[in-house]
Amino acid sequence: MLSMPSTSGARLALSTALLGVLGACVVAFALRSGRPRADFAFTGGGEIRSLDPHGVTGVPEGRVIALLYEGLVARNPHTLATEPGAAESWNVSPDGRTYTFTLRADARWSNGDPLLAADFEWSFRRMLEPATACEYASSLWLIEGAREFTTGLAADGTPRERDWSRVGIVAVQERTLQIRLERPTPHFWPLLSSHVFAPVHRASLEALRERHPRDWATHWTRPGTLVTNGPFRLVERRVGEVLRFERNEQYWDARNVALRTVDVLSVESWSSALNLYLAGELDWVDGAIPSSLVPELLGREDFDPRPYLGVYFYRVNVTRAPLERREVRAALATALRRKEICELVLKAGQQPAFSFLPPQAGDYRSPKTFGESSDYAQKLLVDAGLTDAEGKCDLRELELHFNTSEVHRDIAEVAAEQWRAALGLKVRLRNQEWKSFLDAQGKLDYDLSRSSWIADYADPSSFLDIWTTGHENNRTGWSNRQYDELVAAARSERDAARRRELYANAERILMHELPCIPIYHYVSQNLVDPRVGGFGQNALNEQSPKYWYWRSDEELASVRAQSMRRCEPVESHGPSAGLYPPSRAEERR
Amino acid sequence: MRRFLLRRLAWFALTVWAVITISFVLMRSVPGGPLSSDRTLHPSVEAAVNARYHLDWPAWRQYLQTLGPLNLDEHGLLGDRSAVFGGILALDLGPSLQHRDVSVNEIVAQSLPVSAALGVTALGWALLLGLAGGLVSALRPGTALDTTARVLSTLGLSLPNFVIASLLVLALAVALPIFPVAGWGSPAHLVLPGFALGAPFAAYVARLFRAGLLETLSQDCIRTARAKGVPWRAIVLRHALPGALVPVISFLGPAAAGILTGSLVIERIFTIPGTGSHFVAGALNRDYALAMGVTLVYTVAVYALNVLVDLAYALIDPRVELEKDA
Amino acid sequence: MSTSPRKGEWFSDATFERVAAQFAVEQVPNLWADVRRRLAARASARWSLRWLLALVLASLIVPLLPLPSPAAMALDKQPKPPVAPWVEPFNERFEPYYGELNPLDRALVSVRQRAFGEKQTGPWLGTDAKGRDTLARILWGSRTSLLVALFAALTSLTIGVAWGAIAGLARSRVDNAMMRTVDVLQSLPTIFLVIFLLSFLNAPSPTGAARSVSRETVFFLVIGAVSWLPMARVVRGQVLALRSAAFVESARTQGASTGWIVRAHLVPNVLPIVLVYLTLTLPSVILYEAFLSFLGLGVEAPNVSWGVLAADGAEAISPLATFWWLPLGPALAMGATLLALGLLGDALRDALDVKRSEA
Repeated sequence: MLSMPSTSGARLALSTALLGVLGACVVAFALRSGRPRADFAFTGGGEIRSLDPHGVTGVPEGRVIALLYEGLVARNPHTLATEPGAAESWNVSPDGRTYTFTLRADARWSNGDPLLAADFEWSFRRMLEPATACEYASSLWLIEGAREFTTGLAADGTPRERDWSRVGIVAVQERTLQIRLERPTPHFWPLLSSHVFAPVHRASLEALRERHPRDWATHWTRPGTLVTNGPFRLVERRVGEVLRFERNEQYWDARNVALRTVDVLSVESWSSALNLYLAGELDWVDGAIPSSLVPELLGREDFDPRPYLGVYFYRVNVTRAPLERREVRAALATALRRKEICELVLKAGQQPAFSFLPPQAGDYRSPKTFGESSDYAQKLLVDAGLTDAEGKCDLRELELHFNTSEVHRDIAEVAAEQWRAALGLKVRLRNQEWKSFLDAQGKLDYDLSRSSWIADYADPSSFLDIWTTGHENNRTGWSNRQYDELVAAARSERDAARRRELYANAERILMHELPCIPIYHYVSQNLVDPRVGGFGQNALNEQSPKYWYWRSDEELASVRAQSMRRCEPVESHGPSAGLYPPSRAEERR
Repeated sequence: MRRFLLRRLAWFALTVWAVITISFVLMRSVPGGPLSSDRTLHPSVEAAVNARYHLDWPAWRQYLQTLGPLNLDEHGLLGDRSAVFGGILALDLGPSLQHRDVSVNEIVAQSLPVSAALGVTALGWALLLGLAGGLVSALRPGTALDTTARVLSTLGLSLPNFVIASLLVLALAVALPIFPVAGWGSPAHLVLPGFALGAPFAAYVARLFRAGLLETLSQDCIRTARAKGVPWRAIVLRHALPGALVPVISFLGPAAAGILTGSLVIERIFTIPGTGSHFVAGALNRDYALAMGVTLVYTVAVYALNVLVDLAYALIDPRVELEKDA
Repeated sequence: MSTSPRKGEWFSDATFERVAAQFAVEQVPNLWADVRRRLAARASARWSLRWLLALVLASLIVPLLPLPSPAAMALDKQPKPPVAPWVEPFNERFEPYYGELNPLDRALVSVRQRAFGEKQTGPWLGTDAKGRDTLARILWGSRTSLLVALFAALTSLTIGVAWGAIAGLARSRVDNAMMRTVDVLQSLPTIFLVIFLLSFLNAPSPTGAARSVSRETVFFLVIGAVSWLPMARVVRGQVLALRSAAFVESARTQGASTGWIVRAHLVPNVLPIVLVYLTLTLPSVILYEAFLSFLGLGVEAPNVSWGVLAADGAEAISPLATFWWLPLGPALAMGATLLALGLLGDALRDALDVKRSEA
């Protein structure tokens, strides 16, 4: 033992001092990673799942992938038109099945390696390998032989050895890539620009696999190791805190990228995100604003909700009595007062949904379907013998499942109240945490279950395919042969008008049978600094970070003067001189 | 001393093993798995992911793999160790099932210092406010000052910390922009969350300290010293304080543990990248590896803190014998 | 002095062991009369008791009061700020929708309807975003919070006391096994346990129809299950100290039976600490309910609890618009109740502290 001071008072003083020093050390150690504010900071919620483009599915992940990677083609954030990405040009064969891409000569990886057609071929192959466990692999199955390559099963379901040479993806030359589809597919373009089609760097990944056969995945995506081809590269990652990106000077279009650094913050609570935004710590909040605060934001310049390609609906378990009866489902669907839910609960301009597809799904127009009437709903139940003449409802109590979230709870409370008032129906609310909720939904262990569907691309197939018999995302037990046939026919129909008609007929059946009760169509809720330029406002809320820049005072003033929208101007936290890409900065000088 | 530590170590091993086993059983018996998501996977892809994380193994095999680097194959024979992720015995908590490209070790290594710093600040606040309050009310028992201090300290225990935290943000970060509203990176980021986290513990400390002081000040030896003409200040500092601090110190162990996990609410409100948020996220996402890792860290930290407190206890109060562990 | 491991997170117990150490282990012939006298002499104790009794009474008869229903919504132009009782004492807009009610409450509500008809109090404490009356919700919510406290008290008093007493009285091997079980259970992070128990016990029944246990019951059970552990530890400590106390030893040497010793010495000496400890457990349990509500694991709508109200209120605190009445009401109700429990606990401890009073 050390020689201890004799009196307990002195011991006390000594240990207090020691503790104080120790505490200060801990604080200093934890705070050692101070970093200056990035040119641009945004949040899409909590910590993202992965930086591997083939290992993610969510919207927040897609935002990060868009910073790091670039596919063959990209989508313009203002018009959603296809524009060149890593490929500078392409042509499509007359039968609409073979796509030939020419990669640009100056396309490079962030470590300086040239980006070649073989990189894309290898990346797509990796995506299809079952061992990669890419959750979006099935979206590539419209490529010839791809399905067989992933599942190891031939078209007739017999096992067949997997062979890459039978898959329609070939690097014909150093910079020429050919993709052959099963059948002509109109939505191949939007799909091709999504993050699943991003290339990954073969050499670095294979070297890591050699070195860390078990846990290469946890080594690969580290700053300094990860090699990417997008406008930004990863420089720092702190789990649960921040991802820091820097402009990738090797990027072919780096001269047109304005931001030098970008931070993606992980913020679990939306009210904290809002506070951070108002304090100027965040420039863009992408996500759910608490609905009680929406009215306060609506008049502001920096909050402009736009229609968004998604639908919020309740699944109905058609395998359970009394919901197996169409009249009951129709009564539920027609008894709701959606306008009340949209205007008084959600408040951000969401549109009541009477069709499964939102109104902005490309050229497609949903057929006219059901309407709202509590008298009609009541009559349906009376005619079905489920409600007696005095309006007393014989139906058993139904259970409405939703996952833990304030807005789901609010909507469910209001919907239950509306059903009670209109039909005398008892609906019990069941709030479940996410995984239990999904488990119950997947096992058809519910009566009504909250759901939403956000489209990957603006095409009816993105919405209607899921309701075919046995589809993984059907999850209602609903099955209709006529519907299946219509969707299958639409899938291989080349004539656009005829195809739309087939889908419209399918949707009419869906909205007559109502295995799902649509509630509302989404709006995007971007809260973005008014000074930010190049920010896309489109129905998919797609963003292309390479276009972001900061407007100068003059430009901001002229944008405000030209704006048709009447709103209250908001003070910007961005640089008053603006921040322009190197190319434009020279021009301005 | 050595016997005490050895005995503690044995119990420690047993407790940790029990916690691992119970957590393992609990985690796998609830509905939903790490892979369930709102877009269902194609069966062939799901099988591949399952295989990658050994989720297709029978439970006993997964248990052995979690516990240590024990890879027994289906026949109970020793398998290839290079094919499995590390286990707890190898101090490798494996990859997180939710955040696919980080290992649980990495998450813990990054978040634990943050939580520790927050905890230290909270403890600092708790001791500062608690000791001051306790001292004031013990030296003037029964006065208005005493009553005020006691009511204030009880109030700290009477409100949920998320209410205190939200009010603090509104008052001291938004209305008067003195401190940052949220985030991490500078000492200023620690002040408000530290206070919100430490407030209830300050209340405890104040109560304990007041009671302890009153107790020691009423002892015979103090009265004798006073009668002999020893100055009041010397009596309080030399004799009363150390005795009165004993209960406070014994409270520090549980307080530190409470702060460690209680911090998850505060971490969420102030977006602080600490361990607390992983606690709930790990469990809710069915991220078996992360949940197990955080639970383990928590158990070890609480145990270590308690042993430390017992040692500190013996240091200050020589009457305590460590050997007499029940 | 015992140095057994002290663990715990939400229900930290070392505090209470310290409190326990302050109790003299002595014979107390005429304790309860003394205690009543001392409590009555203290204003804070009197007021605390009055508040708690009033709260319990109010939560019992709340269906009878002329309040709006806590579940009836009015979505237009909400939330509404409070209107002073003298400006709008009553209105005639009562809507008799309460969601799920047990038969007794249903009877009480029908009595209320007969007595007051359409009449209901104005929005004295404002309304929430869905137009529900805050005052009514606080009063109905008090039921949940008090029930949670009651469940925790019951498990603490039954399982906790029995476990601790048996461990304290039993031989060292049994004692050891029992206390190590408590150690392990306390080492398990409670929140972890709660999440898993809630989702496990709450998994939907295959038929979808009538379920045997409601989510509320599960919720109460889970909180009860994690709240008895520290009590067991405290009781054991006290029993151990008593076992070796001089007066118990002497009673034993004089041939007293175990039963007599338990009745004459153990019970009167353990009871005070149990009581004081209870006043410390209840606040932490009520706060724990709030914590779970914050995480979205609280009671199911349309039921409410103080925790749900406080969590919603905290969410409403924002620089953009402050609906100050939403956090204020539940915070005041919770603060006052927990303060009352705390002050009562202080008073009880002082009143039961036999040693100092006789010194």
